Amino acid sequence: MSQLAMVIDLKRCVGCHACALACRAEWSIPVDYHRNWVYRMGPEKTPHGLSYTFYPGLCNHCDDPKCVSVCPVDPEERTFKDPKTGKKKTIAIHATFKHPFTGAVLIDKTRCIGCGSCVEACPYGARYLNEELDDPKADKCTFCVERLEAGEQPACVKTCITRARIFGDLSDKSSEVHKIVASGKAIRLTSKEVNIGPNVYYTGLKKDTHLLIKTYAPHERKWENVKAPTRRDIIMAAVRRLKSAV
Amino acid sequence: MKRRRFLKLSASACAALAALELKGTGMFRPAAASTGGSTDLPGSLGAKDIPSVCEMCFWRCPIVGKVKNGKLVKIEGNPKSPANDTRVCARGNSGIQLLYDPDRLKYPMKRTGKRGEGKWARISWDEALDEVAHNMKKVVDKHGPHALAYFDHGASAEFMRGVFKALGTENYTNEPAFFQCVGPAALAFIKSMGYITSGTRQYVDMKNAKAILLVASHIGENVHVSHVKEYMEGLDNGAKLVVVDPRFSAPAGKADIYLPIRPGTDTALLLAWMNFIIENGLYDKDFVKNHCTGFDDVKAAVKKCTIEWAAPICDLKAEDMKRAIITLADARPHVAIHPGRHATWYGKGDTSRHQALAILASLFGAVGVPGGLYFPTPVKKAHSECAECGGEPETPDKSIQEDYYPFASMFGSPTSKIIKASRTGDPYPVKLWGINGVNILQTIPNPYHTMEAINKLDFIFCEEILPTETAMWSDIVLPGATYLERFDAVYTYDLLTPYITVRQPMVKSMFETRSSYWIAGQLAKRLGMDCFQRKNIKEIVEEELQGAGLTLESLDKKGGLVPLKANPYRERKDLKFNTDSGKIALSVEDYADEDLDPVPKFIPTPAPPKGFARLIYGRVPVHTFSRTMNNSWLHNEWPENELWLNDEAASKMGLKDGDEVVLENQDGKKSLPIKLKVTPGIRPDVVYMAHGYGCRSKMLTKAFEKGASDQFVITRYENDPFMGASSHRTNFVRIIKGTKVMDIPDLCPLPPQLPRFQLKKGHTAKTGGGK
Amino acid sequence: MTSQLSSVFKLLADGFSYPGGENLSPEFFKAVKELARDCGLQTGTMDYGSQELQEEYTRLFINAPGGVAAPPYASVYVAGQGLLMQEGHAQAQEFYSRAGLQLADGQEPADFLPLELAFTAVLLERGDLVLLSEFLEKHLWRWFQVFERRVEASGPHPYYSLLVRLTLFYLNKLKEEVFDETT
Ligand code: SF4
Ligand code: SF4
Ligand code: SF4
Repeated sequence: MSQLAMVIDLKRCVGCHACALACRAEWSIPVDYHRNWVYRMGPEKTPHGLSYTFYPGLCNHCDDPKCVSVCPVDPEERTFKDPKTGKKKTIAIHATFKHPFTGAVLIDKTRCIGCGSCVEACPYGARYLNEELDDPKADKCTFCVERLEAGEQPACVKTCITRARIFGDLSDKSSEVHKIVASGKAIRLTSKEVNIGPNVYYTGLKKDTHLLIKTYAPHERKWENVKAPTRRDIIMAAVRRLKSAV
Repeated sequence: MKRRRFLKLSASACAALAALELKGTGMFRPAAASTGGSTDLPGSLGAKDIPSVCEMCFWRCPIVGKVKNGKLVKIEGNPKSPANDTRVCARGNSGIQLLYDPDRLKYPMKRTGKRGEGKWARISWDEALDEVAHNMKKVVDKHGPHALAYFDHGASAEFMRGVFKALGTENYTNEPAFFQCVGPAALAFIKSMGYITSGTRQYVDMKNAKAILLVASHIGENVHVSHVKEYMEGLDNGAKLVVVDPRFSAPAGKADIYLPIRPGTDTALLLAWMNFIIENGLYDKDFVKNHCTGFDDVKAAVKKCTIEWAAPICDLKAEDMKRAIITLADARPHVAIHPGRHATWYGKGDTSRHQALAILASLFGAVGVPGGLYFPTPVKKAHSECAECGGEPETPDKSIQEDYYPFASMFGSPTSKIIKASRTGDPYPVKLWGINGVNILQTIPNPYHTMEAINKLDFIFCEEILPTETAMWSDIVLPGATYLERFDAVYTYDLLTPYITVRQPMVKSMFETRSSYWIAGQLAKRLGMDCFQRKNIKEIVEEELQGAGLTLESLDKKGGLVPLKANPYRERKDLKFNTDSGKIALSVEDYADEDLDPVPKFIPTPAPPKGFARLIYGRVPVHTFSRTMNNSWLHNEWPENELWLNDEAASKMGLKDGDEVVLENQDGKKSLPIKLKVTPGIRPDVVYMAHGYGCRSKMLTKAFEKGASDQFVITRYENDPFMGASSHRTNFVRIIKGTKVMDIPDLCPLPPQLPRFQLKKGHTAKTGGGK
Repeated sequence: MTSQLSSVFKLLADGFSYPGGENLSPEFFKAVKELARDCGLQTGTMDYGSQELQEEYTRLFINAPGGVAAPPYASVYVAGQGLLMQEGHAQAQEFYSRAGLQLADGQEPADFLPLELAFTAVLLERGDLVLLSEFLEKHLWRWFQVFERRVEASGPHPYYSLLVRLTLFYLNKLKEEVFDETT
């Protein structure tokens, strides 16, 4: 099975925010929210020297996506196609799901009820719900699957001014992402408490990856505290959707 | 369905309405076929591509606009461009939010309140242009042409410059960009090497370098896409990076050797390095012998400048200084000595510092070779004579351009002298300012003087896109079209990856905004000039393209851009410089002729008085000076600046990260509130903030009073004795928290060679000078 | 009757255009006054100078310290976070194209208030009440209410206060009499 993945090279990244804005422009993300962010760290002392580096973040399209397991929408069968082989597979999915062929974690907006469970569950803060809309839906990075289908690169990858963002299929042994990950040089943002198999990797100077993990590896198992939406929430969401449909 | 009972109007209302001729339905016409750009695909997919050139900053990357239904939905790099391909930076990505900013200037405006107050009324273009032309004539009649002054920045500001020039003022160009920024570097390299190695662009081949030296160049914080790209390619290829900076900047984070130098002592370091490589034979003897003049003068001048001499001055460890210079020397001649860009630091010594960089590069033979400084590739296009109407203005008896600084006239009239002339009438009165694309209140030291000068003017007008501080102070405001709505003259790029391209409109210009060409032409007409004869700027573009064997149509077919072959390097035997001797002038006679040092000398700049730290400033990668602060996306990305304060100093002062403070400078001027960033990544004797924040125009709703402006605590400046640029790093601040004025502890002992700045009476540090 | 109302909206469209020429004439003010009387709104003498209205229009709608009180563009109000050319603009364009129309001169954004009022007048003139009711319900009425509140909250000149109230009144009438019945 394929798994789309990204490696971000912090030695190359200059913290310019181009990626965050290309994503915002491409997907018209309102300014109060983001699918893609760049946070600054340091200058701060680390055991490996003074570090001044960046956390370019996005959804990790995790192996064990907790956002998916908390989604309360009743599973429905859907048939997926392998973009490479054309092979088909039918599985039952919630409103948010992990694509069986590409490994991208996606949201079926037509079925999302906007309860926000997944937003709360994600330990990386990768999702948002725009509550100002009449009918809010969860949203987050899609690895730009729509663009991939059209033969384009993800918007953030295409604009990255230093080519710090390397994107590809981990299962493809000839891909750059595979090579870097296989070399063991890349790290992931995980901790003892939170290890759900993120597919965004980071490489770079030791001091920089050290500071990144220290500052941003999540420790809180947020998904364990997600309250299932009440019947009332679900009914209200249905009413909202009906209203905005007329 | 019920019967409709429509509201009936009274007879008198009907009659009154019938008496009017209302526009109403005339605002619409039957729809024509769609202009392209499919809207059913998501995001920017399926949009119509329009190639053009960015102007969110002045690097001007080639871009394509993605247009759907007449609306610009996205901007990407032009994939045909060998310089940036599909890449654009944060600002480039956010141009849309300039185009669609509701705070934009939409129509010509006339000031109806006091200057600076922001009370306006919309007027027609005819009224606005008549008013400007009338005032220009009036001032010329009464005070002569030199009473006019023009401040400008940007690609299309040249057209109006032509109008001022044609009226005969010597003050037709006093580009703030040169006198507040790159001027000293530009002069130094022109005089040493015969070309402008650093001006709008920097001809330094970091991509092929084996080592790179950055002296306070903040690549990555200051983003010019192809420049950053080549820097990163160089590092990827294993180039060693040496960074000299009082602050641990983004490139310092990637450096092999980082030297946290005492501000104001860079030239001492460079002289010591020259001495070291000369004494140890680590320079390129062949290059120096055959391609340079004045080596013996340099050798004599640096004789006493040993590493041990410089170490206490620079507050660096001698062994680190040696390690760094050996690293650079080992890579020779493929060593990229970055020529620097923003060079107006201390006034005295700025040109010399950049001359020292030129000498260092020359000693390494790092000129005209891969990995060194290189030559521009001339790009052929026809020249349209349009911007050159009027011939050369006459020089007045006492000239602002020529009589103060020997090399100023290469760049125009020094801004500080124009402002002084406007305030005081010395050497002659300046009574009218035209301003184009530059926010002078946030770019020129001592904005208080600038405001005073404006208040003395008979008339001031500006062409702008946003209601900046400068617009608020103008009598007439002319709304310009953004770079996304207009043509500009043909754009050529002559660095490592040359090309020719054109800025083209992606969408119709919004509201009543107009292109600079049109505005200048209309003004010229009203002033009775017969220039700007072309129907529109498109004709100029076609004319210029013809010289390159192109038309707009053929260019568009090629994706809007044609890459060209580069010619940056020379065989040693073919090296020829555009100087008197045809060689690099290590010692510059022109300087000696004007009683200036022909070889660089270390002139110490006064150190901070006790209780104060030096204020330095820089850039954040998502903003271009103060120009982009109101852009909703960029604002959201980095809404405020912060004040970097050394952690040890902060802990002695009892200050924490995130505390809100105010700065007070040596003249008692205060900043807007700013939050502290407490970090080990800065020396204790300086504080740092990003430039461009702290907007004071209430009409810029997002930017207004966000963060603090360095400019409003930069009141003291000195002029570069060579070319008259105004210094920006000669101000000292202390910190006010709440009502408490706090001294910044003195943690960097001064050697006796370095003088301290003397405070005026009444401004001594709170704890006295004795501690 | 719809043609009478159409004239009303044409008048309002001109009223929300920048004051200069026709919309500063005594005849224009007279018509405004008559309509105000029809609606039971108080008016004064209405001998306004051009400068005072121009300054006020500039302050309310074009550029002003602190931002203009009420930008006259739908986009600013409809899920667009105060920006131009967002969803609200797309909506307006969509309605115009459904009516087979486009803007005669292209420099003002399609969702500029005077254009939307003129479009209302066009639909009234054509008697296309189905499209009109949708235009009002899904678009103009929604944002105009917010716009009106913002103008009123900014301590406007009595003339612009009158114009927004007048517009609100007529839109409200249309809403009651047109779209409440077509839905
Ligand atoms: S990062 Fe968050 S949203 Fe993305 S797959 Fe993992 S848990 Fe889900
Ligand atoms: S892959 Fe696409 S959606 Fe994800 S962060 Fe990058 S641009 Fe945004
Ligand atoms: S675009 Fe690239 S270099 Fe810039 S912040 Fe994003 S990852 Fe880093």
